[in-house]
Amino acid sequence: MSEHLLEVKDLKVSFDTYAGEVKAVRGVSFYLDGGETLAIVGESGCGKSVTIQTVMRLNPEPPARIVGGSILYKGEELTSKTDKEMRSYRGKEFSMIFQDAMTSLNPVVRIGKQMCEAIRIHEKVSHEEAKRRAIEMLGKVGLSNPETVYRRYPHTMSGGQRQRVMIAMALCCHPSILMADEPTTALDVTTQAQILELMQDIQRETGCGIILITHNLGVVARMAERVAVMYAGQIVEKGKLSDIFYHPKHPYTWGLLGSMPDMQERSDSRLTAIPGSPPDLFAPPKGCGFAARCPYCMEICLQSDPEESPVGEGHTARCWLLNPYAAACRPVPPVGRDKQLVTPEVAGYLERKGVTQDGQ
Amino acid sequence: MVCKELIPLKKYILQRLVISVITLWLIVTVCFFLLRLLPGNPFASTTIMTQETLDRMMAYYGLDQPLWKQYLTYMGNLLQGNFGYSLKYAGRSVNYVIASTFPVSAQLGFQALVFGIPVGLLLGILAAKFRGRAMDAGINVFVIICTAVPTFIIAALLQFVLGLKLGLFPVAQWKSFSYTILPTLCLSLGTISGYARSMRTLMLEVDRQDYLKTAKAKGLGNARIVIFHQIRNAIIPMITNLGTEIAGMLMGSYVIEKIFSIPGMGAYFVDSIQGLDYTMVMGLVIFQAVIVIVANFIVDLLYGIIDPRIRVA
Amino acid sequence: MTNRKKWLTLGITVAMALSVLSSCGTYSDGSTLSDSGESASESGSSTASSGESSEGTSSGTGDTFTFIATQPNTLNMIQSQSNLDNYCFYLTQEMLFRPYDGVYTAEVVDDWEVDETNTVYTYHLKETNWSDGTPITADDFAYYLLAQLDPNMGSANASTLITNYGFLNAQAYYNGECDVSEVGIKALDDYTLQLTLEKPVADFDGTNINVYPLDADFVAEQGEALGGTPENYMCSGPYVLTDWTYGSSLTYEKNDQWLLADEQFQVQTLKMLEASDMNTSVSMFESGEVDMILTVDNDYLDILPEDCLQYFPFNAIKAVQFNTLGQGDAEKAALLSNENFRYALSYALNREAIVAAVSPTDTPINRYMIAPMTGNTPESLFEDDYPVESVPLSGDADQAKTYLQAALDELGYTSVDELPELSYLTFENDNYRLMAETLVDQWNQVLGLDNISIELKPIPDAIQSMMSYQYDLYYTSLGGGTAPSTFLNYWITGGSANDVAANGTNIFSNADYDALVSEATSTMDRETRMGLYAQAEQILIDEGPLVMISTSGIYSAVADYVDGFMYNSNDNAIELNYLTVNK
Repeated sequence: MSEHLLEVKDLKVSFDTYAGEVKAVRGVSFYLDGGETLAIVGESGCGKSVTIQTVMRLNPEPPARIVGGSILYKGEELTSKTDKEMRSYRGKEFSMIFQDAMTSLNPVVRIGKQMCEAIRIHEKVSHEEAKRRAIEMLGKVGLSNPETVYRRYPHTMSGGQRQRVMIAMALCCHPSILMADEPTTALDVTTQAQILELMQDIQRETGCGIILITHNLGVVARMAERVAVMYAGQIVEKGKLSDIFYHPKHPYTWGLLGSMPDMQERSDSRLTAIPGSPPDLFAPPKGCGFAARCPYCMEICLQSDPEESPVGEGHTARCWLLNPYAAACRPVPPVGRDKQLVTPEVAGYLERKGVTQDGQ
Repeated sequence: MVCKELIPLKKYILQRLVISVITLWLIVTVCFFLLRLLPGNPFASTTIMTQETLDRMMAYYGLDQPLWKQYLTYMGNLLQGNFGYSLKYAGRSVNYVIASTFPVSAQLGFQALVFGIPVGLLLGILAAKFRGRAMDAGINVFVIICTAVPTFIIAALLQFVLGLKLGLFPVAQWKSFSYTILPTLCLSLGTISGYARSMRTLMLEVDRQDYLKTAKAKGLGNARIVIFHQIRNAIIPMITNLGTEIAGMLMGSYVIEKIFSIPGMGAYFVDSIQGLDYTMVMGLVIFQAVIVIVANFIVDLLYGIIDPRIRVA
Repeated sequence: MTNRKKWLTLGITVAMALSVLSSCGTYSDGSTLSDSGESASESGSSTASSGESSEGTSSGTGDTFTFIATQPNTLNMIQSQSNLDNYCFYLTQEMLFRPYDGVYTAEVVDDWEVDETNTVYTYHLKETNWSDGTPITADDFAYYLLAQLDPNMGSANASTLITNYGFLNAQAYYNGECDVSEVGIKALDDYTLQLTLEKPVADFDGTNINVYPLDADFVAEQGEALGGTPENYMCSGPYVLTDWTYGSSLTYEKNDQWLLADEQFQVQTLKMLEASDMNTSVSMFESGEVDMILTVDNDYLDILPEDCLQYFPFNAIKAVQFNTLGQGDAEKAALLSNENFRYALSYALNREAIVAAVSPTDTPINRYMIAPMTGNTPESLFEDDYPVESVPLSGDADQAKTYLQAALDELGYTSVDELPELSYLTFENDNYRLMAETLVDQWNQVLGLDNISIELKPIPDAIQSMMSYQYDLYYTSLGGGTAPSTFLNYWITGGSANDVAANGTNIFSNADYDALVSEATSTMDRETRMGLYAQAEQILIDEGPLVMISTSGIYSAVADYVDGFMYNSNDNAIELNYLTVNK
């Protein structure tokens, strides 16, 4: 029996399209505990959104199909639940905040109505009670004049306000897990910071677990306790913040860290892009998904997919370089060990949180 | 609150009114002169009429006057709401023709819309929801048949099967509600197929919108998502054409009215322009223009209710 | 915000509800009871399956006759130009003499006499009433004729009246040159009407004139609205028009006040439904909803049982007319006036085959005076009394080629390829187009002519072109009239079909012909007159600018339980005088 709040094991999700089967998620495992924040990072199309949407079973089925694995929430298996059964989890146990609050709110329905709807679907409360709670929630997420906001339409509000509304709506029914799919990508930097702060406050207050999807490593450093790096439908490396930022083991993580723009040293920007593009998920390679772009690719990498191997406490990576035999045929590259990949901005966040190179 | 919003609404209505009057005036003027440019005269018929008689007739109806003078006379009458008398059907005032035929055409069109739009929307929604399955294919075939087979063939078929063979409905004429069923059905087929097709496309477009995912993430049931979130958004683009569509339907259908012997306006549109019945053409054009303008205005206000983003105020 | 929304929604709902309510009254039952027929309308749907056929059978006693025909254009008796209007006048007005199947019988006229000069006709009238009970006087009959001659009443019928009857000073009055009191149409007293002609008119026998009563005060009171609806129309005849729903139906109820109410027009109610779609009409006929269809389209003749079809000849003559003026082009003019060229085109046509294929309700012709035109006696047919020499109905291809060669030789062409381009002007209408294509094709096949192109124009447009002589060939249709003079008069110098613009531009001019027609129209002896007409007809056949094709007729579908149905195109009337419905 799992002691975690949410545990996903070897989850495999495919989409059946006219062109064939897209293996979007290929064996993903992770867990989340209450009150902690897990960040999932990776480039677009790597399957991070699909993964968390599968947890909520938001992907339309068909075309989406859970091929294998399990999703345990409070010890209950979710993959075998029907859509109808899942409804009582959505919004109530898990809530989701999407990237673009403009398109994620129904443009023709008043804010209040959209919120009340979420409340009343799960709790048998009167309309007035639902309204009171919605307004309270709107106030809680820092919107001034919540009564006015309640009666407004999404298009009359700014991006930041809308995202606050989204958060308020997500929190209406006090979910145990808040999933945020790139919640700040569409916002300007100042608003970004405010929204992230809001999420942290809420987590402190409600003790909910947060799964944060982002490709912004600054956000990761700031928000998360643990990080999972996804690539081509797999988690290639996961671990604590210090593991990922100071002791990355997977070449993709190296690349990811190396490709992060440095905001403070604009003149000496080390923006090194990872050459190549992710593999075609219609026909994933039989070897390592990253092999084709990996500067340290070996023969074995093209032949066989590496297993997840532990490299520390709670720190795992999928890479043949970690295999004891790899060192024998090829020296482990120096990158990541000597070279400081972390930008000063990220380092700042990490320092504030007390995350050091030595781990903690 | 109410006052604050009503003032711009009043201003908006006033603006629209001024624009409408100018539009109408332009239509009347252009139509008046264009009509006179057409070759022929209203009195030519298959019977022989000597030039002398023709001249007399032209003089009798004031058509021998300079055009600008005729125009002023016409505008003068028009301002008093008088469309004049038909040149083709002596004694038939255009006002009376409109007053007696429009309610019939309007009832038929209204019934066809009231029946056709919901059915069309429903078919479109079903087709979108069961996309790629038998239901979708079936609806698609139905839509293609409705579009491709001319109305008069469908009408004749319905008359034969439902009217003559099964005796369910009268074949033609306009005497009671049961007489209106077949023509309403025929007239609504176009609406049904049009709305079904657009609705399917729009539903599929909306299907991809994020707010539906939000709705699902909130734990809403499928039915509520479709009805409350998807349909309302899908319908919005359709409202744009609703005004013209309603106006068109209310104006009557030449073919349907002819086939079912319905005393509507449709025939006058065709006959009057063919026979160069100047006053009748002008009267019908102006009336239709007014209906279109009014319908569009109402629809624009409706639009604001359904889509708050483009509210006039 | 919410307030306004509710406000608008309410408004729209009200508007919709109103339109539904208002539309409740749009049904036209066609009967006088239509307004109080709420319950009848309500029950309509429940009885639809069985009830509709009983709609017709409710006349089990034979008191309703429902038929399909085309509606009148107007009931304004002054401005009326259409025989459709006359169908209604015939049913709703008294007449001095009422024609039935071509024979005029005195109705309002009690007694009449003509003076020895054959120009002054005096009629003594019976006392009769309008349907509302007010008396009809001789003034009303006189006014009917005078109003049509009045230049200020917008009538298009003056020239016909003047040509056919030549009332004293009628032309002068129409030209505005004399007072109405000088016209030879006078009510001597309330019950005496006198018609004075300028000179004897041979074809007028004192009875064959359609005269209805028309109340001058009523006309003045109605103004432009006259004859637009039953409310703007006064009835005096066998029936009273009780309802007219445009585009749908006319309802007539028997007028028991009428003079001969006991003898004729015994059917109590007539319902005339608008002829709309022929398929619908035939369906209604087959389902028993209607008892008669006046005109059945060609395509449906084979569908209906043969024993319910009745043929009535129509007196219009259809012919290809040659513009001998050639639109100012001398070469064209020479060709179009060339007799041999015209014969070639005429002989090339197999009229029997063409008519059977293209227009089966027509009858092919090779002359102008055809049945039912009467001859030396009112009982004999003109075409039997006076045979003519003309083209065979089946045509003669060899003869046609000979004529064509002769024409080419005369005009100095070596082959048909050198002929100037000719355009065949006709209406933009399926039947006319088909006829045009067939004729042009025959000329091409038989004579090898490919210089004739078809020009289709909308009806008013085409007529305008014809009237301004902008055509080479034109497919015309001319009313034959009741006497030979009607058609022959069209083609005298200055005749109405000849000199259409009335400016002296004739496409045909023959002094002998003019003299014959003129002499005939004033010859009182019937047999001599007919002989002269026959000579004139032969000249027109030989030299006239026409290639005659056919005369039309109509097939009516009449239910087997209907007896005594009559239609006569000469009388311009649907004659239900002796109709019985024995359902």
